Amino acid sequence: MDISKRNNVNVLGQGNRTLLFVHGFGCDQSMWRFVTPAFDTDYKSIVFDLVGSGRSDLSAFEPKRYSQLEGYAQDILEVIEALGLEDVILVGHSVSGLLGAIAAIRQPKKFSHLIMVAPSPCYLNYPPNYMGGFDRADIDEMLDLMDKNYMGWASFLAPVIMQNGDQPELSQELEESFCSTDPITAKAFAKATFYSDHRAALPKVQTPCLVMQCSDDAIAPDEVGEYMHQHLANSTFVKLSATGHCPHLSHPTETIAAIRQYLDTL
Amino acid sequence: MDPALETAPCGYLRLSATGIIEAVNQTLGQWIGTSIQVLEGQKINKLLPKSGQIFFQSHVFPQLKLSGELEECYFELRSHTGDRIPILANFRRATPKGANIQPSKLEEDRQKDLPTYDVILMRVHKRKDLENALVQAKRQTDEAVESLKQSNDALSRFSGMVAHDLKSSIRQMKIFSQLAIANLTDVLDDRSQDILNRLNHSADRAVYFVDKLLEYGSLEAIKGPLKPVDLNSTVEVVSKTLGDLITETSATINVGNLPTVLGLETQLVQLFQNLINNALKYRAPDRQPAIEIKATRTTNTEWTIWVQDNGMGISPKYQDRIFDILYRLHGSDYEGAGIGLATCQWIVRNHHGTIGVESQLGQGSRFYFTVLSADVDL
Repeated sequence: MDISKRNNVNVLGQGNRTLLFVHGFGCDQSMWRFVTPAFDTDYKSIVFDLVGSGRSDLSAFEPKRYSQLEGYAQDILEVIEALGLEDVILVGHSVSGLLGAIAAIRQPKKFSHLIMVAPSPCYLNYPPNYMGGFDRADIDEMLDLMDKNYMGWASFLAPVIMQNGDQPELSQELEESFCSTDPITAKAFAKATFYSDHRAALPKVQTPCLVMQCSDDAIAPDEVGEYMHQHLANSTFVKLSATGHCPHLSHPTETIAAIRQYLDTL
Repeated sequence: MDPALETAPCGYLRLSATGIIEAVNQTLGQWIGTSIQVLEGQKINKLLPKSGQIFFQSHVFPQLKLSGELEECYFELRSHTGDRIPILANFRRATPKGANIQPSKLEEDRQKDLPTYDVILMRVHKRKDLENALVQAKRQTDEAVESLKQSNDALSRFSGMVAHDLKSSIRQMKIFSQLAIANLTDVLDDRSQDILNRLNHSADRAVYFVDKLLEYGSLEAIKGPLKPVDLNSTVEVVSKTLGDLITETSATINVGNLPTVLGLETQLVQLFQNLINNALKYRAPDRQPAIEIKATRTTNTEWTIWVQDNGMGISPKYQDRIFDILYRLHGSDYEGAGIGLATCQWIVRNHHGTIGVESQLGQGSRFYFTVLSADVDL
């Protein structure tokens, strides 16, 4: 199987060291478009789509494999294998921070560092000791919301491209980078993500980690980021002033600076 | 805010890139049950249930950031009293007042603008019920299809297994009866030998019957578009297949000019084969079989195909039942499993047609079926 094709792998930048960017739930590699250019000269940046997301090969979607985060983590290892990467610095957003952790537990030698942007080991509440932020009913409701938006309103994900009469190639590029999502695979990813509990995996991660915690993040609140930091064996914690859950989209400058600062210490 | 927008029959809000409500109109304020002053400056998250917060963070904001626009997005807002308000909303990146945004402006430049988004909201209480019913119906259908598929697979495995086991047992019986006939000729009287011969014959019939049942069970519904099939060549193929039997029975087959129809060639071959085979098998004892095949255009979209013979005919009282599976008109004096015409009916229905027979006992039968013409645009 052609992994590069299956996962729509794109290699950017000229440097020696490898940055492997992994998108989170709800989008695809285009999420990284504001961040990757900053590392073009010093790093070889690699972006790809997890199977089921973006422009990955949907025919490669095996429901059983991709009902668990381990199946997605396997994608990461297969991309690394296929491209012959070593000493990978993985940058994972949201659930993909955990995917990086799972992959690094399996094959620690492949990874040099993990950079986790707004990660969470478990989105569900397990009172009284752990509050991931959500009850099962919240997640059920969110899956409902996805159903309604995908099925009821077909145009939801139809690319509406901005007017670029004089620059057709720009709109072409935008069209290609759109967060296109298949409803069935998106729901599988949502379930694997939000119903999972990988807290037990954290102490097993030997790879040094950077936990980037956003301000006022409804999906990965402060306590969750702190939990990550406390339970990872070797972690650095940075609190961003960026609000929300996608700082690489909303506050790319601060996000780039935090990543760069960490990389400079290596 | 424009006074018309303030009281327009739709909600309006302006959202910052970081999810802060920068402005609300009176209508939306009334829906929420909170004054505009309180709402402005709040995070949109405050108005969203947890499910909506995830959805906004994982889908809406990334989408807006990357495309600047989102239409017909469904979510729910929480009113002041905690009630859910189902909402259908359109989002669009706002053009700052007075600013002259070049359409060709690069994404990087836009980046620095820190855009805001105009959001128009409609309440969709009734539509939500409809949506729920639809989503529910779709889920039930999906589940039903899946469970049907599973039971179908299981049945097909089961019938394959049964057929295999049955046939091997029957073959054993046949081998033993043949051995008995060959080795015990001296000791067996005529009556015993006759019984063994009958046993041998029954075993053959049992294997034939199982094969025919399997054949019927493995008929597959047509998937995908129907293809044009020239019936002249279909009948030619069948005539060749049945060549020996035709010669043996000195039958004549007279084929008129047949049309090109829409269908599945393998199934149409099987259809003609069963019909012609029957015409030869149930021939009249006192005359050579003569079969005539012709077509008439019966409607704008359909042809009727006729297969007429001069055979023994079928009594009117049986004509309704002969297409039923396992229904046999003739006893053991004719080889048959009661499956051939059932197969024909299945194939014709699979081609969106009807099948029937006109017949007079002792005179012959005229089978007909309808089939879609290839010159019809489906």
